[in-house]
Amino acid sequence: MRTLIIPLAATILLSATLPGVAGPAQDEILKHFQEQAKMEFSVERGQELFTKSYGTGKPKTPSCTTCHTKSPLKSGKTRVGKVIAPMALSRTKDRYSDLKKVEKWFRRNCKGVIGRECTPQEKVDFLAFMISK
Amino acid sequence: MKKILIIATLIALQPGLALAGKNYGRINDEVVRNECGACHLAFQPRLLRSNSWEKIMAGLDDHFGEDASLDPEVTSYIADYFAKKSRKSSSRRRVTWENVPIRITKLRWFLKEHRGEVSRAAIKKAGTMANCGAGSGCHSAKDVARGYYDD
Repeated sequence: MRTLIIPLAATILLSATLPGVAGPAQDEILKHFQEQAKMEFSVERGQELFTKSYGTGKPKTPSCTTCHTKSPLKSGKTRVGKVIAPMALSRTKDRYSDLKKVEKWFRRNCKGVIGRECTPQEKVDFLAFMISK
Repeated sequence: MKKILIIATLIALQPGLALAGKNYGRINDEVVRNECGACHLAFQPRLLRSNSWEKIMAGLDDHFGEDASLDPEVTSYIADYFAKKSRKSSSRRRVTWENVPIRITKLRWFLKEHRGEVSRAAIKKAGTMANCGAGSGCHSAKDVARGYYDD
């Protein structure tokens, strides 16, 4: 019974705090990182992470917004000019549904922007922000 | 005869010119197409020699200033694809690892093909030469996807 209640509680908690765009796949991924994080996710911290200029990673990508623009609702561009679909889940519905893909992009882009891997806390905050948008 | 041989060798050294109609073929592997195509157009194996691909695949964590690293299994899968499908690097021209070219847009045949043909407006529209299939007006997305670069 306990094994059933905990995921259920987590799902209710997540869906209670975030608007209803997230499907079961996104909930699952949020839960995955939330379980490893120290604090409950924060949309505000996620936003801060997204907009902050670090300058500790690769010189040409000081911030997430370098490629993704300041608005998660807008399309971005890779450094060669290829269009990147908006980061907000409300705009790109299939985002954050494949854990391997999510981990791949966190690994690459956290190293590229911050110069190190992101912590589970940062990941869950970031996802919460994008899912809330 | 000797002259013909020399000319044939010279042509063979220019991968871009050796192919009639500049047709490099479609990338028929979904993993390669998706992973490489996530950030830029998925360049066809025959655009570079095998040693160039080897060097690119060995340095994905700093890929033209970008971390483009992949899982080890995916990396070796894609490396194998390029090793199989690209033209072998010439054994006669011994190039040190450091000097193996990795930037297609800096290759002599590429520069020659594009000299005086690319307007500033076309580059502005596409962003960079590496995004030539996206609104440059030079190559269409459809042509680029099938490896056809004739103008």
